[in-house]
Amino acid sequence: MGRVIKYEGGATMDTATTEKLKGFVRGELTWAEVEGMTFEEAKAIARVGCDLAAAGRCEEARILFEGLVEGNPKDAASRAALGTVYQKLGRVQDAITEYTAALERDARNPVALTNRGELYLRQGNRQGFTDIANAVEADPHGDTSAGRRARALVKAIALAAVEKMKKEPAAQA
Amino acid sequence: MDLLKGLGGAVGGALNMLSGGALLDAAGNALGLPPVVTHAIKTAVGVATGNVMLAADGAVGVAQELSKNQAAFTEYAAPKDEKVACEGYARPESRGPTRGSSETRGGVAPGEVRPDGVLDPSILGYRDALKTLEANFTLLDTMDNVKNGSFTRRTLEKVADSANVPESVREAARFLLAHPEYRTQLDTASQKGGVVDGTFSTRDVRAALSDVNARIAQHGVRGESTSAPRPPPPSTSHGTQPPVSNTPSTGGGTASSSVKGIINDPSLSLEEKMEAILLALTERMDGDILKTMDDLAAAQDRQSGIKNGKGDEKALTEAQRDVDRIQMRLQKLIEKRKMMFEMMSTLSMKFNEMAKTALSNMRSA
Repeated sequence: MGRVIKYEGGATMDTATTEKLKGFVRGELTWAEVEGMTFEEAKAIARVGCDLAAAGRCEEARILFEGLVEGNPKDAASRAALGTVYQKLGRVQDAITEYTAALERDARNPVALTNRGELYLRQGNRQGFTDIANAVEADPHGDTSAGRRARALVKAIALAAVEKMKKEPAAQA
Repeated sequence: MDLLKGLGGAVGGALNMLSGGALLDAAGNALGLPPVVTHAIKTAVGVATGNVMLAADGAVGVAQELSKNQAAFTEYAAPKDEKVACEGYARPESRGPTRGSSETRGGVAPGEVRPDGVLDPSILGYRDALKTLEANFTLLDTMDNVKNGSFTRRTLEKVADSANVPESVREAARFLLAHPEYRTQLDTASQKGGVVDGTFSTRDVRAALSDVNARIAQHGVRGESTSAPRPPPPSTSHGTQPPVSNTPSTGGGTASSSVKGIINDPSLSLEEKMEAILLALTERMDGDILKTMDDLAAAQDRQSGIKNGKGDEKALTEAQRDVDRIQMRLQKLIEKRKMMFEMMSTLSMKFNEMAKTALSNMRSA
């Protein structure tokens, strides 16, 4: 027997909630705003997600970050973090999608720039160099792990370029 | 060259014995490097192996740095700009309804009558914000470099962050941004039950202000005596209208200056100006009616006092005459008010007809 879900209609909703829900439907408010979730709360949840990912519990981290992104799709940091989790889970295309979405909101997110840059390089896409260079520019002091990695990658790339230049004249000679 | 030495040192002592790239491939994979970069390092190290052998000391290696900072490390790097970081999240003071927020405690939204029969004190802030918006309407209207007699939520956001507008206007904008319920009330103020389009016109602001004043007068505000409303800030741009007083004005000076303000407002169309003037006159008349009713009540009290106090016939007759006179005045005022409404209705109809005629002429042309 299928279960029939009926609208009871008895519960009253205050005007503020109704207005917030209308705002959500119109796309003016995020679900986090409707729920009253603050940035500090989101950051605390994200910290748990980062700890889970660091401990190798990527599936749980994925659920947390997916929830954060659903709650506030405007949060570029959550999107970038979700991208890293996808990348660890081997979902490369999803990871690139999330990094790209994060960069649409915040073009200077070092996590999204570095990791997308690396993934692009793996795919042989030259856009990867630009991303990594931008990541170094976005995090010049290496405040984030991604920023430090980007710096190291730039050094490695520069090294390769120098070597190529050295080799070419030798071959020509 | 230092970089090459660093790389060589970090990947391991075995590098100087490299005959092929297999070990570096493995190292590259272990470090999570893209093949292109691994290959680059492999080539560079292969060529420079001799140099690595010659140079004893290795600087901090690139590979070491890479191994320290793993690929796809999960971290939450929020933008440094707090405003951008907090975008899409609730402000700390405005908690959601599901968490027992103060603004909806007891299921009452701001601006609505509380269970104890009075209004929430936040309505005073709303009234102040409306007064400021009305006094500085032209400034808001021209904020987007387009003068169209209205402004939007985006304008409010711009004003809230702009250093070029007075602090009072910024505060008013911030208040409306922080209170979506009041924003919705303002949006539909000139057309009750209308669609929320995110645009606020002069009529919306005026209608909302008059509605708020009426509600405050009717219900009162909890703790109003302790939180007296601030006076409206002075206008900073030319051509703005003076703020409307809280109570209906009975004096000719304020009303005439208000009418002048409407006439001089370049953001209003002719129809809007006429409607606004009539509305202002009706408001003034409402004040007169209230005052007359008050006078009538006082005269009736006086009359009944004479009856009870065994007054003489002459005083009673005079009191009766007073009551009659005031009743006549009240009747006249109500007649005038009725005429005013009829005129407004006729005007509206005429404007509608004019528009229809123009449209039909255009269609047939």
